[in-house]
Amino acid sequence: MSELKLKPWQIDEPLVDEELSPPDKATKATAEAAPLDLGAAPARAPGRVGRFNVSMAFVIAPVVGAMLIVLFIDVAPFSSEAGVRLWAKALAAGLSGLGAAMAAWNAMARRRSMRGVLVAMQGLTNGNKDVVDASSLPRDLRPVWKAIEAHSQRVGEGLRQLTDMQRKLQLDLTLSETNRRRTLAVIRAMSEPVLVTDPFDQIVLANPAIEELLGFREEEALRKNVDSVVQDEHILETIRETRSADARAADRRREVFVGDRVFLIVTAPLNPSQNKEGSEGNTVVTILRDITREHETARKKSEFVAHVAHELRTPLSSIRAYVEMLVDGEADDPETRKEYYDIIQTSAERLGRLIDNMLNISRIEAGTVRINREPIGVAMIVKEAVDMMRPSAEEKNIELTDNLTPAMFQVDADRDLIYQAVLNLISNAIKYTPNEGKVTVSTVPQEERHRILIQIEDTGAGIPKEDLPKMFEKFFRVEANKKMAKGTGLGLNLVKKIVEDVHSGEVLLASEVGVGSTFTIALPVVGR
Amino acid sequence: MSTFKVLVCDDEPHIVHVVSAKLKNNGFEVVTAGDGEEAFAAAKAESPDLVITDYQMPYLSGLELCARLRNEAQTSQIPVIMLTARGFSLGDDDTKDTNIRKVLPKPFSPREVLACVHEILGEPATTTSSQ
Repeated sequence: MSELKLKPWQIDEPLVDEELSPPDKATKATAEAAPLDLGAAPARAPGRVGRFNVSMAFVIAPVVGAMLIVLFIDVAPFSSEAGVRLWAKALAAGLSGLGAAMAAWNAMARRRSMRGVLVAMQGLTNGNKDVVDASSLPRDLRPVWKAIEAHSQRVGEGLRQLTDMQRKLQLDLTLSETNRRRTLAVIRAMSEPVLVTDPFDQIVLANPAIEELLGFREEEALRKNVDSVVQDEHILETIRETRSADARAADRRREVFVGDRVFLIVTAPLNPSQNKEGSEGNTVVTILRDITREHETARKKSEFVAHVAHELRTPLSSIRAYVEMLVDGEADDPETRKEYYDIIQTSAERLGRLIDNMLNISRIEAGTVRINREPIGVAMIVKEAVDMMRPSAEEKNIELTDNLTPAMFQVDADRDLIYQAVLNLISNAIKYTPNEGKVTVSTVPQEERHRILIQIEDTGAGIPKEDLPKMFEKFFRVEANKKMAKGTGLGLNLVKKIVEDVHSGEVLLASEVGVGSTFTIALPVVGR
Repeated sequence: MSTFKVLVCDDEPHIVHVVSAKLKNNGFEVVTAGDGEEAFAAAKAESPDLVITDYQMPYLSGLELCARLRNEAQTSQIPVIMLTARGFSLGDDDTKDTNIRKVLPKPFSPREVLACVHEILGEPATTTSSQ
């Protein structure tokens, strides 16, 4: 016993023969290979023996990879240290062999399991879950498989949701693209000029109407500063004001004149709430609204009012002046007084006629005139008007003749209005025909066109060619003929409105300066 | 004792008539014209002391008449009273470089016209100088 010289926990030389397994090398190789090749048995089973205490020795035997088994051996039964060593050697070899066998079996089992999981995973990947029956897997892998399956299910679910979402997004995208195209098409088709500028005053959209109006091409203007494309200072200023944070300033009404057209500059900030914080400002939509007609209407209206005021003031001036003369006793003799009374009466009548004409015109224009349509004989009405005007004609020694067809031609018309129209024309003819002249009134059936013509022909002053188109305008009077007679410039306008607007007829005019004029009223006839 | 001569011009004969009557009744000599051209010719021929003219007339408006009168040496000093049915459109700018001394809106009062004439020319009985 005492021959056993080993000290406690003193590691002795390797147990294995040198030639069988070089120490360290093999251990090292095994240890290194272990993590990679789990199933590989250690090439050799080196071991070491040592003395634990007086009665106990120990053997350290590697089993699988880096796993070591420490066995304690009672040294009592052995007579020599060589015996202990032999026994320990045999024991270590046996243990190592057993370890190797176990490791090999283990590795095989693991390989099989892994193959199973691999096949199962492949099945999952290919979407075929039934490939794997969980019960066919090794028991230890079943929970792993269950977890994989659950996870895969969740992933699959997520994937389906994603796919749905993607489909929806795609649809939304298509829809919004369609909407975008449609909106763009609408803006492009707008007859109102539209310009869109971004917060940096760069042009981002210009429709063909503004291209045409301001004379630039959108493709050349895009991304360019609006200052370099648009010259009008009113437009630029309005855009700047709207773009800046204080968008309220753009409420100011600005107009821009382009050629003979007038436009109202309308601007609006795009999504102003989004830019509230930003100092950069708004995207601005600018629309130019064509207000040429409103302008023209306003101009005509104020012109009309000025005309009316002038026309009303003239007879009113006479009335006021002559009344004052009478009041002041400026007319001592009865003849002068009579003269003044007559002038006052004439002026008052003129004022009355003027107001009547104006009211009739505006009623016809507004469509509020009361029209009593009935079948009436044209010849009869014309005859009445001729008779009415005969005294005026005689005053100027004018030969007033009528040349009327029998009363069988009837029109569906308002008696009073037609009478008024015919009377106006005969009155005009007498007014603008010099003394000793001729005025002829005739009715001429135009059967092929189902209408009847009322012609008033005079040998009067005539109308200059350039004035012919303006003859029926309100307040227009032939400058050269103004001195021949008083007039309001409303009579012919009223005739045209009565004949054309109310009765769907037509007024025609032919004239030659110094020869005379022929005014014709054409009215559709009702069945004979 | 010579009297003042006034030229009255309007395309409305009634106005010419009533203004003339008022002035004649008050001792003025009156010359009349029916439009601006006539008035200009009469002003040159008659050398009136004062012109009373309507604003809106055919051929030659009241303002054009005033300009012509001022440009002609013989008539350049004649004061003018203008009658107008559209007084609102005749501002100081329009009358600045003319001899228009008074603008009377229509309807006007012959009394007022007479008062203006007196104001510009003085009483016919007390003043005898002309031009």
